[in-house]
Amino acid sequence: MSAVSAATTQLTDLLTAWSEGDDDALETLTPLVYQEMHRLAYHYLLGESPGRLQPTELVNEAFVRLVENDISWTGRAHFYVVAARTMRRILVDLARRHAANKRRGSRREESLWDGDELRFDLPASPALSTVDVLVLDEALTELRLYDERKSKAVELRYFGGLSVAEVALVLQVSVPTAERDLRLAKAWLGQSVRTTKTSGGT
Amino acid sequence: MTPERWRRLEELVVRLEPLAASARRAVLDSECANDPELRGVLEGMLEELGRDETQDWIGSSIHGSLPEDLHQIPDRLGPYRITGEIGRGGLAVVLAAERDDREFTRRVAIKLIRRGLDTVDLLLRLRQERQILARLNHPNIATLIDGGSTDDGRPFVVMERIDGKPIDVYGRDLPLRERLELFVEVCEAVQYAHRNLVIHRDIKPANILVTAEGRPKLLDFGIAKVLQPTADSDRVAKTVPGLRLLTPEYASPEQLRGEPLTTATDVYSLGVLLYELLTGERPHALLLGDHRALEAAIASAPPERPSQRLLRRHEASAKPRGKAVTGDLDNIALMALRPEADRRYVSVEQLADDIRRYLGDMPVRARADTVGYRVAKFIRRHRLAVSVAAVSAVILVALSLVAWRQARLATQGRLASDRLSEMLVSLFELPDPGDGRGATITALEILDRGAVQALDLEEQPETQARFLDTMGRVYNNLGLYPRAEDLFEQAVALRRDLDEPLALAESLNHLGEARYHLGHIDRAEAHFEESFAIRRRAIGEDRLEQAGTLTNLGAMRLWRRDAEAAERLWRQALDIRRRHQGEHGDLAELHDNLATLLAQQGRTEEAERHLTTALDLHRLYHGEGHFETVRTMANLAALLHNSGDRDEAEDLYRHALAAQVQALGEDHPQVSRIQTNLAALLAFENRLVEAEELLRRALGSLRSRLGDDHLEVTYPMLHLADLLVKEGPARYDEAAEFFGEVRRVRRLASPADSPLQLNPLMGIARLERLRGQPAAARLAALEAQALSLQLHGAEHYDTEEANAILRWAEETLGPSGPPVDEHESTLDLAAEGVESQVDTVGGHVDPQRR
Repeated sequence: MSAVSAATTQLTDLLTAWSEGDDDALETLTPLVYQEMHRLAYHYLLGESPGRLQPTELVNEAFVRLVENDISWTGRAHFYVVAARTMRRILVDLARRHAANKRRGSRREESLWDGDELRFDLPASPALSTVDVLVLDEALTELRLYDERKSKAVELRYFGGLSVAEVALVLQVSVPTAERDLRLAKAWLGQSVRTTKTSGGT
Repeated sequence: MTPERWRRLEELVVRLEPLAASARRAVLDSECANDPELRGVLEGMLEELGRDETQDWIGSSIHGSLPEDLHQIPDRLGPYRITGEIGRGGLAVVLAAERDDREFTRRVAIKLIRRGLDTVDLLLRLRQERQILARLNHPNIATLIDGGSTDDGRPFVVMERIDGKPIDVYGRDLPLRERLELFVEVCEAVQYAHRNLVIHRDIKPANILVTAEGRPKLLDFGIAKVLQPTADSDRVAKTVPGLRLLTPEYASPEQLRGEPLTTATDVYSLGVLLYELLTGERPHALLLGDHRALEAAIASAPPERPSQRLLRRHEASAKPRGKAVTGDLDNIALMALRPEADRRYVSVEQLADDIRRYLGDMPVRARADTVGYRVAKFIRRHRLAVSVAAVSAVILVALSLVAWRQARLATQGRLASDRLSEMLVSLFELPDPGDGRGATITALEILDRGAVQALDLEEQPETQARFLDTMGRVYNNLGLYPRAEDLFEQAVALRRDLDEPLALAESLNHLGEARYHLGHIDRAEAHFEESFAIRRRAIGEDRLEQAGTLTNLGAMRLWRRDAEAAERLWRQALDIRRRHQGEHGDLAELHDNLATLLAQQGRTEEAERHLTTALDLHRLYHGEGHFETVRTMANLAALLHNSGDRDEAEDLYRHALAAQVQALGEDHPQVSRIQTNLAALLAFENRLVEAEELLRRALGSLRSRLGDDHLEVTYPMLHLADLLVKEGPARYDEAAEFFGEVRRVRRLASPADSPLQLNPLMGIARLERLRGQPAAARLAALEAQALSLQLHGAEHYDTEEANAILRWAEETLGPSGPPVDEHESTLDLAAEGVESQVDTVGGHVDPQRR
């Protein structure tokens, strides 16, 4: 499978370039990561394998497939930043299409998954135990305007499936700082989402 | 919201959170008087912060947004009716199912494996394993019932269904004692499986469910082996075989490396489990999927002691918990977690037993690890840099001569002679009870009996020769060189008469080795040359069979101080071995030898690189306690000793000494050499009592093994003489005797212009100067001066010291009067002592003036 290893080398090089300050590299590598993760998501969801899509797993699997194992720590950290963002995009896309299908009253048409039936169950309860991922996404986008590091921490932790220690590592802060960031971010997101819900807007 | 406003918000949240409701209101009233929006956000955030931290609404929102895939789950699998879903992992979905038999309904759990794994291969392995696994019948092990594949080819495993909580969750609120009892029960189940030759390979909390009755049940026994993909899959080869399926934080280091596994892997995983039960955390974390960093972390240092981990925490409950764990439990957990498999508990039983002992207030087996880790740490640290020693000579314990493994290679498959096996068997039969000693029989007695029985083989000279040769090798390894020599000589004689050139070459090589050890260098060299020539005629030069002989020839060249030739031969041997064997334990000795040579040339860093390579290879191929591994370790100690790092050297010497005594016995020459080197180090630090004791022991052993005239005995003797000089005038006579004896033997055993002659001469001159004997001092100093001039030149400290002694002697003897001041300094220097230092060939410590 030389194609895979060529892609792997390419991605590894791009990550290294990016972590060394070459911001153009990010633009080239993002679609690569997206493509692979999308493919994986498809694979996981389409009966190729039983088991719900698990962000952590998907991100790790993408890493194993895409990046050479001896990449530097900074390269590694950069990969997880892109992967977490990509994961978020995939989930948001998925939810959008689902919402669109629902509006059209069709569940088979224009499915993300090439005609295969997917069943989505939007949470009916207003309780915060679950909220629409689109609402969460919007709140997170707003948070980013005020405090980029905190929104990034949430993205890494929840969409990228990283542990708190790993989040700290990627953001280059101490573990207590990462814990605090996550806690405050979660509190702000919580109140924001609640407000959205009660005010009835999306 | 502007960034400024956000910062203000954050500040206020942090300030308000610890306050009580009324105080909060007061602050809010004053701070947000004109800003109801900010107040709203603040109140909302405080409300969120007050919620249960464990409620992960973000996580569940994300998961909730994911599509369901229940449509993939069939209604039936074989005879099993699916009734629901129990859980999901990366690898599989676990389903609840039932099977209706005539009388009752059997509830089972079915693990449906994800597609994408190589199904055919997996099913085959599952079939192979199933019978073994189904035999495991233990109250703490969930039984494997069945296995098969779905219509669309997904494999599944049917197991006994357990309703319970993972052990980490269950144990969270239990008192320490109960957690430990639970752990012991888990160990018992694992131990039962080990007795049935099944390794779990994936012990982790998720695989240990505790039932409502408090009984732990282990799931997935041996499944990891079935699921482990074969190495040829491209994706897997890219990472580490089988790794993707494991939870890396519970995997043993050998498992992370993808090496073959033994029961020790389960001991390690149980260690992680114990650690987690004690602290609530895993000893090492996998970060950003970096398995190698995890592996490096495991290898580089023992994990933080569980008690420390607890004491570092802030919660009030952590402190007393930390105290309870301090000591024995720390030691037990860390012993199970040692990175080297052979340094963990030998069995799960021992681990469980230590926990039971702890619970019963009895002393535990586990001890804090000190020397071992210090050795490992040392090796890592010094892999990077070792200061180049100012001194030129180097201590090395011994040159290694290769013969055994190569001999094994040559004789493999030919040992089938009936008569020979019969004889070997008879050797191990118990001695006649009539001899009054019952069943005690030592290895040596077995050997001696064998040597006698070899005579019975006269009618089969081929077998007899092979037998003699084999026995000789055993004697040789035991350091019993004269007996080895005798047997090899007979083997050579027999093989000369037979038309077996390769066998003859082998025996010649062995004979050469025994004679080398006995100090007969010329004859040894001739045997090696002949062996090499015979093989070259028969099979050529570039053959694996020649590598051992080339190694030995190199050793002879080094002995003759032809370092260039030695290096060439060894590199040739290295090349042959690499090409024929790849990475292999046999390479270790060559690295060891090259290190000796390089160290002698002052190329300390290169020497150390070779030694650490040798050590790695020995450890990998021969194991930690093997005498060759230990010898290399002792060489490393010598290298350090010579670089002036005496603390590390001492630790390493002691470690090596203990290990070598265990491997070879008290009296083996290799043990004596380490004792000698260690004593030299101690003597330098004026720790004379222990040094003297070690030297006398070494001297006694060497004399009994090698006789009084062997060069080897002069090394401890020389140190002993120097040490006695240090002890003062009362022991000068003894010292003089030893110096004289060293001089005598060395004149016999090595050429007159050898550097080996210098030290006893200098020692005698110095001693006579101290004793105020100008005539005797002059005699020795004259000889020493001439030799040192020839060997090292006029500037050398030995030459200068000899000159000084000579001037003193002549002035004292002559009519011209008392000695002048400068001689005082000579005296001081002499009294101050000798630095242990190192000899060139054969590697022993020789005293030299600093």
